[in-house]
Amino acid sequence: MLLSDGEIWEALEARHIVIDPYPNISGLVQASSADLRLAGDLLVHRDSPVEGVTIDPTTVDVMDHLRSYCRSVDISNGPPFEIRRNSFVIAQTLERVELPLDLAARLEGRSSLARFGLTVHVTAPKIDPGFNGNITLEMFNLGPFALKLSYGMRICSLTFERLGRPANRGYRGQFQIS
Amino acid sequence: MIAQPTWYDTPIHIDFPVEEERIKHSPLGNEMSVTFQFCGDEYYVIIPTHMWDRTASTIPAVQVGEWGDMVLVSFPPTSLGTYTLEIPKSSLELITE
Repeated sequence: MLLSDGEIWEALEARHIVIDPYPNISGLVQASSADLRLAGDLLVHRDSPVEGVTIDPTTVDVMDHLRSYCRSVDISNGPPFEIRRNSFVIAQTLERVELPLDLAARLEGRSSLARFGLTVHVTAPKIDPGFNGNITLEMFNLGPFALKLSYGMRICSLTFERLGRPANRGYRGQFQIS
Repeated sequence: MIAQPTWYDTPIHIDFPVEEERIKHSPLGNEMSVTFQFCGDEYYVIIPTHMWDRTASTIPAVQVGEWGDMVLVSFPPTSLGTYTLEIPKSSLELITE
């Protein structure tokens, strides 16, 4: 069952869920979700499309892959980045999110951005219980126009779902929950 | 009937030794991939960077259950999911006894 706005606020106040910085901007907590904002670091493929390279996702090291084929763009102190149509950008949320073992979360796009064709994940919206970190966005521009991505813009929503009982596989370590 | 794993009520903390040169940091965010050898087998996980104990050269995990002769070992979740490895029980007994 999805948490409502009142339940999200209660969980935030009890630090059962952590969103850092705290969403004290009016409207970031919606009826059944919390909006998150775009951080300044983007990863952009150096060439798009990359010709002559075939990836085997079952064997490639994703960190090696990102380092080999992507360049970093920092928009935190500069102009917005223009994501061209049919192009792919990896980004992160400005907020760090910390989940307990009895809650999972789901990343969702924002309808106002979806109208222009912008997606924020590539079929990987699930955030595991016990997660602690900034959420990675896999952004693709499906629309006909280039779109400006600005530091701090509202970029996605997060919904929270209560598990029937805490996850057995969840990590319960001394350093995870700070 | 398919047997499900036996889950521990209280997970058991364990540190795996890793070699720094086998750590690869993500160019975005605070995550890293680690390939490590343990009792002759090679494993690959992705964990948050802050979980790496640079001084001790270890990464933390918890034994969360067992399935037949294998122990299920979970690592801290990342944006790429939660890595849970199946490690032979006999291997873990060697270092936890």
